[in-house]
Amino acid sequence: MSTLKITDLHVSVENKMILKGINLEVKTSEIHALMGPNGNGKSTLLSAIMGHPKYKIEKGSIYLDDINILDLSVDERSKAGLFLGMQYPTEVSGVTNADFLRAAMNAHSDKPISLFKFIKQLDSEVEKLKMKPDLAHRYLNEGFSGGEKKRNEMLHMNLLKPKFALLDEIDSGLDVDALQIVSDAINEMRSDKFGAIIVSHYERLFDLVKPTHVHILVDGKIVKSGGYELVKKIDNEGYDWIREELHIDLKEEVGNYDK
Amino acid sequence: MISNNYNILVNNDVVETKLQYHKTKDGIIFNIENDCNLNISHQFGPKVIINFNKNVKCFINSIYEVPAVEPIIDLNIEQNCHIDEFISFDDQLIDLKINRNVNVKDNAQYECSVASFNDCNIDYKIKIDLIGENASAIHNVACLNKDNYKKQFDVEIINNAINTSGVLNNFGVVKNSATLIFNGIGNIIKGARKSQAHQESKIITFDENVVAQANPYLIIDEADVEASHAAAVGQMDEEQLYYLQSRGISVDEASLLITYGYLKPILNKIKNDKLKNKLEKIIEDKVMI
Ligand SMILES: Nc1ncnc2c1ncn2[C@@H]1O[C@H](COP(=O)(O)OP(=O)(O)OP(=O)(O)O)[C@@H](O)[C@H]1O
Ligand SMILES: [Mg+2]
Repeated sequence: MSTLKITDLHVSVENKMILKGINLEVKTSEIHALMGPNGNGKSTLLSAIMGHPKYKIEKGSIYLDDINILDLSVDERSKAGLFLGMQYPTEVSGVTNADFLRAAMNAHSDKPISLFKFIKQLDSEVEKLKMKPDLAHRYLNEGFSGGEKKRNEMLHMNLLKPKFALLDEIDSGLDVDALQIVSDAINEMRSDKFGAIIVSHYERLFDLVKPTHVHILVDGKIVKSGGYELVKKIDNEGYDWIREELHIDLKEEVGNYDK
Repeated sequence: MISNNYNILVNNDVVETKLQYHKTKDGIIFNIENDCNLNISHQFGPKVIINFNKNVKCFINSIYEVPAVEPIIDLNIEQNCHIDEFISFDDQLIDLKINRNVNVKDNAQYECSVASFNDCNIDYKIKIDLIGENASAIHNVACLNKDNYKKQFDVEIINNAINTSGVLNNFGVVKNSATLIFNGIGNIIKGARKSQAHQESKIITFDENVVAQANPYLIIDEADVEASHAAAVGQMDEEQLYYLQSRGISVDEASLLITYGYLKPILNKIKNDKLKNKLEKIIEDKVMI
């Protein structure tokens, strides 16, 4: 069993403090849903865990078991068992998805994977995700539709088999069938060797991938944690009740970001 | 398939070849009368002039080897010839100044691909004169430059006759504090109606300390022509590097993948398959280590 432990995390972007003291502990076998209004720091949290160079850690710590993640480079974090499925996956022209995946899988293991074994695994995952087979051989995300990009992120996750997946709005842009396929893929990963933080705005995803924990992030802090009932409540009532319950001026916060 | 293969090695006064040649005050002259493959190792010394007789088809593999210093070569390509040339450089080279002149006559074609991946200073100048009707030339440069080295490619194509076509592509990647300069010069002379001059030069830079320039010069003296140029110097996209790294690829390997991905599309500009394969292999060998 592994634990991802975030303590008092403060993160700034371009001198603006975005995360203002996040505390979160995720164990393998758990799925944590992370919800919250637009622009309040959900992607920032996932990016900071992965080590995006733009996000500056001002205070706090992130540990994966006894490894101080903040000491590691981005690729080392991946090799330590973290995976970030991005909200906006980057296009890389000239590098085919398959070549890249093979390089990534090789980076994750001590001895290189044979071409035969790789192709077999790739084909089987591509089929499971019902992706068009040519997507594996096209340039990385280039010209992929929104939904195709998201499925491709899942393909990467399934092949790299992380301990902890950080999935950022993996359901956005997916049609109903694709949502089912992606949910199945996540559920299939669920085991005592896999945990996840899943960001989404919608109940539909958490209906299919049942979270063990639910957190609401507002203005850089987790203001409320609970179980699946929180997902239901947000789906029915939005976030206004949080403001009343916790006396946070959410409106003003959201209004600022809308500008 | 061409089955005749000849080697030409020129090093100062030493000329090693099975081909006939004359030494003149202008240089060493070869006359190529039949279809063949030529391997040219041009190291040093006098100017080399290669005349291709009418209708000849030839694949030239040119390698600049140590101690190449300032080799000069002229190719005179007669009517209806079809000449393809691949130019590469020996790893031991440090400093090289190249001067090439190519004359292309009626209905003849010249296609050249240059692969410059080794660590050295290069000052490469080529002037391609399209001097007969329907003459055409394609010149491609794929280049990686790093450390402190300086590479400059001046590629000039002159449309002197009616319905001639000149295309040049320069794709480059610069790292560390290296210098890379592409000067693309297209010149359409008055009267060269229906001619075409197209060029594309692009460079990506990996570091702030590099010097990178892609300069297009188009001088057009005739109205009835088609011409275009695109030149761009851009920075490597940090988001790409981050994305690749986030899947476990080290910074170094990620930057190689990006370099590879950036240079590879030049292969689509190459018509001759053998040229394409040779360049692809060199990009793979030199970039993907
Ligand atoms: N690279 C950046 N440069 C400048 N500002 C940034 C950057 N990344 C995030 N921010 C700002 O940080 C705040 C939090 O952004 P973040 O993307 O984490 O929100 P989010 O909760 O994921 O929102 P959404 O639900 O819309 O995806 C926003 O105000 C955003 O504009
Ligand atoms: Mg977000």
